[in-house]
Amino acid sequence: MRKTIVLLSLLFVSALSWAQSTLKDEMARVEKQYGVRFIYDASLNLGVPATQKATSLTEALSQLFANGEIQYDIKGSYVVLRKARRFTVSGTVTDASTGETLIGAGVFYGDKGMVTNSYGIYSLTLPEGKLRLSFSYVGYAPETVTLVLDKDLSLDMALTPDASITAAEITGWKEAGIGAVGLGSQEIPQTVIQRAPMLFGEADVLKSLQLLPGVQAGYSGSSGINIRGGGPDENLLLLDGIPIYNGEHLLGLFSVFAPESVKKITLYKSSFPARFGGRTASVVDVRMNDGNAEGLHGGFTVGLLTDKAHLEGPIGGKTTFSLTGRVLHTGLVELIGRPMGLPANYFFYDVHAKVSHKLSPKDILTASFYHGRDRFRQGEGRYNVYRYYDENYAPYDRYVDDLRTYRMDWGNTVVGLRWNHVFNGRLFSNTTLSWTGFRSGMQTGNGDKIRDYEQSSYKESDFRYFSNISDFTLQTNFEYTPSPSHAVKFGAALTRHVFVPDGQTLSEKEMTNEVVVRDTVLSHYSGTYMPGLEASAYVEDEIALGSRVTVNPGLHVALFSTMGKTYTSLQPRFSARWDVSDAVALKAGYSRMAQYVHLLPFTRISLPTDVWVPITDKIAPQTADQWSLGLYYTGLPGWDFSAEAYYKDLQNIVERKSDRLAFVGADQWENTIVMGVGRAYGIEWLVEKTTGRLTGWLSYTLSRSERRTPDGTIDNGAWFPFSNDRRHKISLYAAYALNDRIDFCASWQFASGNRMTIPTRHTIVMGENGPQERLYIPSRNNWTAPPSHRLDVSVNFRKKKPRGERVWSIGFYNLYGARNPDYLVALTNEKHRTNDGVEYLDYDQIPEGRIYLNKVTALVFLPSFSYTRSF
Amino acid sequence: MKNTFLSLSVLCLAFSCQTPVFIEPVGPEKELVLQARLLTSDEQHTVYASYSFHDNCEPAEDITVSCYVNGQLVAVTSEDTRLGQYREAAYQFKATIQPGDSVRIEAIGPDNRAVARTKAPEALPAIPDVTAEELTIYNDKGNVVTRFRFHIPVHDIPQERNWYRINTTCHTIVRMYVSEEVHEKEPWYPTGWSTLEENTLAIRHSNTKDPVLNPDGRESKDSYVDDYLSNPHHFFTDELFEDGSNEFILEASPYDYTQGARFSMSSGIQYQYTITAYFDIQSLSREDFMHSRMLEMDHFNLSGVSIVDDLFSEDMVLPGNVEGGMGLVTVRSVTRAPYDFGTYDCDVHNWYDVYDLHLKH
Repeated sequence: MRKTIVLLSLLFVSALSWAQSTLKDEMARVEKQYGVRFIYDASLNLGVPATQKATSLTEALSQLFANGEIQYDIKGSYVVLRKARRFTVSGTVTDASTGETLIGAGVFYGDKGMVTNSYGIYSLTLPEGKLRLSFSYVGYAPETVTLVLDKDLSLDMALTPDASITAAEITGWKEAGIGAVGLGSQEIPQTVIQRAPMLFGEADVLKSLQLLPGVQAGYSGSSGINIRGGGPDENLLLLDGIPIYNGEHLLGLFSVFAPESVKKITLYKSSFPARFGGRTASVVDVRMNDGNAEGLHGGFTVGLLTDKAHLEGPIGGKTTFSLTGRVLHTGLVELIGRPMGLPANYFFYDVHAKVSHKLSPKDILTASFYHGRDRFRQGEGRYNVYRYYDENYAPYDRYVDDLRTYRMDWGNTVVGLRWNHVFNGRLFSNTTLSWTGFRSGMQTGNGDKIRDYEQSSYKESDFRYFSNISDFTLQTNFEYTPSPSHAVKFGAALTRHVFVPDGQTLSEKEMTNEVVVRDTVLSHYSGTYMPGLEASAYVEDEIALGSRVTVNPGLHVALFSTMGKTYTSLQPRFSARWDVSDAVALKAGYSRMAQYVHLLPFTRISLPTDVWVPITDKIAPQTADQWSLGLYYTGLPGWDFSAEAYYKDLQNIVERKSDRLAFVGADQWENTIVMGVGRAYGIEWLVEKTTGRLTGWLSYTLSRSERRTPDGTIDNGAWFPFSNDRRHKISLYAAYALNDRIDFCASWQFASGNRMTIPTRHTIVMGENGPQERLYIPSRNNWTAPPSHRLDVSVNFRKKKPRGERVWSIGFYNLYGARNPDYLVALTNEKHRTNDGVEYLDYDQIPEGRIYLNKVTALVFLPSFSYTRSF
Repeated sequence: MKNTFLSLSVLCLAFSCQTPVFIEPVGPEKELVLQARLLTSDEQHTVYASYSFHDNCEPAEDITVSCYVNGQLVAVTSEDTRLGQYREAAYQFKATIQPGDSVRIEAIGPDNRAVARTKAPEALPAIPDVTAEELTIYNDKGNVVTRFRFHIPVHDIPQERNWYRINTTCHTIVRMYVSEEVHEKEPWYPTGWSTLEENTLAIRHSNTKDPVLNPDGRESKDSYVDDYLSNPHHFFTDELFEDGSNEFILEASPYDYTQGARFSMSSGIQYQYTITAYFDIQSLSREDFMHSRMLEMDHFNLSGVSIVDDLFSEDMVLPGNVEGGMGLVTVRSVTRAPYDFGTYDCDVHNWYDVYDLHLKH
């Protein structure tokens, strides 16, 4: 793999060094061909690549100086050249129907251009003169404006939605996708999120990402994502630029992002822009709607499990709002639990809100808010009557009530206040003050009420556990566009982390004949207070080196101080794009990321009560150095092809020790893990159809992820597969619009099984009290679970209403009922005996004592529906 | 509509299924397993041998075990002493092993040959006097109880990471004095002083007051987690006092120390019992330490079910050093630190003296 990457890199570098004709060479040809002389100032840059294939002098000059950097004037047999003056045109691109800013809209002048930033703002510095400026965006009719640029201009553009525009030719600067300089990034259109067939008919933001190459899902139906050999805690989830710690509801079946409130999602797997830091595997950047500026709109959705409502609109002329609420009703949980004798109740809710106010043409103030909560309750009561005899052998009855309760709560809250300011056409800033918090807790209670003829007594015990995280952050980001050849971004952030991972209280209460005889807090621990201070700064510049080569060097500097120790980290970022031809592009990238927090699993499976802890004076930050190389082809109209290879070198990864309990209190967590190194590499292929009635993509990922503990703690220091190491992954996504009213959607996914540790034979071991028999495990993650695959389909029936639209969606999850391994547990084939004394084995096919796996398939086939009404 | 779909979903979830996945056997059908923990303080050693199969284990009763110390053959045996349980054979031999010695155990059977190589770790330097104090404290229930607290000074072996365990035993000798008068009435008693009983018992000590052995002061009685974290077998490393010294604190009840002095008394006979506590500091290899701690967790696994079904602990890959087979053969170098309680007198009229043990010093 390394050799392949090195070879491809060499090819890339050697290709870059091909001799190209410069402007000066071409001018010499023109002089010779047309008998003219050029007169110019020596300060003009004539060393840039240039070509011309003209049949006349005028045409030749037009081609040579098409970029407007140099202006020419024909005077007899002389051509006088002078450097053109430059002015800036800037503004905001919005949706004409809603006034919502458009992120990533293309703004072009000839073959140069850029895309709007996360706030819909663009800035182009261009040579003076008459020029045509084009605006385009997926799903919107393009617009072209002709203007005379003789001073700095402010030009806002409102694009009109047009469903027939399924792909825009945005080949200029972008932050994600094929058009971007960086690799390993992709934007997920809203249409994919809304239309993709999903579990229980619930559109889901993070599950949409699972359809992309390089993204592995967790267990069936979950919204968890593992990216390029990373763990679930290595993904940075950002909601309007603010980190959110727990991205899941209902044990991962839903993500916390309500699709109705989301404007845009961008996934970065490598070539991370310099402004990002803090996680090693990926960044998921989710942007919320600002709110409709043109009128009051909204809608509601009644789904199988959740009901949602969304409302947005203007308040006065300068303020907009967007409000989305979602709640899961408890019917399904109760329906399943009650017949099983498990009276349980579970629900979640979340609220997304955003208010934007235009303070002035150059200033926008935005307040955003998210709050979500999951609650699980389980109670179990037993009532028994026991017969006793007193000292006179007289019988009496004792009534015993045994009540057990179990509760779990968890959720995020995010609050942000952002100020966007346009200094001038070339300099833009946003400053954010934010707070993000995650709290989880659980409570177990036991109560015994005993009553007989003599007395009544009551005894209860109560155990509560909680874990908190809160981050205060102040960050400011600047975007400076001095010329079309440069897009500079820089900024800084300061975060105060407070982790309290392990607060707990154990109390007991006893009553006899209604009199409290004991009410004691046996132990109370307010939790380990683990503060951390994180400071970071970054700078990056996207530089166009001629018309075909663009590079983006950047540097992210971070500092994390905790427990009296300060870690500093220099994280260089670099990506380069070479447009070999109009249809073929090559990209290469390198990035280093560092991570300062870890998610400690409570058990071997992921639970919302898993605890986030910061690095310590003994546990150094985890870092990942990633090299990637990509080849892209866009020559077939309506089709995109790409292949990306990556190699990731991980340092200071943490693995659970074999001889430690999974969770022993966060104060002990350093003893439960061991630090090591890791490597992950792979190739991702993607074929995407972007236009026509049938759209979608096919992707294939071949990957490997391994870890090692050099101190020999695990497997004597040998490389072992990471638990999320899944060799192959195929995703097929297809959407077909039959007409304006009906569209179909299908997705098929195949993934190799993940790795797990299972015993292979019986052995004896030497305990402190002598030999004992047990099962023998040769190495960690020694077994590959069976692969999983499934086909999901959905159909949407749309109907325009006098005001808005209604949509019926019907879907089928795992249509052909594949029995995927949702949960696997190793067991031995045991012999049992019936009441009649007949012996039998669990499975006759294998010998007694043989180890086998019990495969649990929870989601075999699930129909679903939802009804959405928007206005 | 909604209820229909909901019911349909529940119905579909009811079709959730469990199916077995049969695993092709990995590795040879039959492997020889050797397990041994040799102590430098012992003269007689035991190697346990078993045949490992995919479905079970059987005693390896047909092998010959040889022991080499520093390359010299010191013992050979083919006799299964039947001291093992029903899954393993036990081969015993005599050998003197010193700290620093290289030890090779070779087992040859009809179909298998396995060799384990190990080295006896450096032993701790001699331990100065162990001191003890007698405490009168209130227990959890508010009762006054007596505890013995022992202080064991340990000097680490410098310049390397070391792994240790403190093994605590109690050696008791019970003697009796039979007079001529008694002998005449009860002639089966020999006259004069004679040894009635001599035994060595393992004593469980509490380490809750020791910051190295039990940093959180956990009691082992509260839960399985505490049982594991309380480190009941007193394993430790020199991480917290590397190249330095540390005074370990262990506590036990006087009652525990009289376990070996329970005997039937006859009237007219004078009894004496002598008690010595031994604190054996065992130097372990790293593999031995990891192996032992892992198995402790297995023993105390949280959910009380088979380890493979336990969500709360990581599956354990136990270290091994047997070529041509499986298992772990280790040597522990022992430095013995005694505490002499002294000799106590009692007779049938003062029998409770046995239970009411007090320190003499």
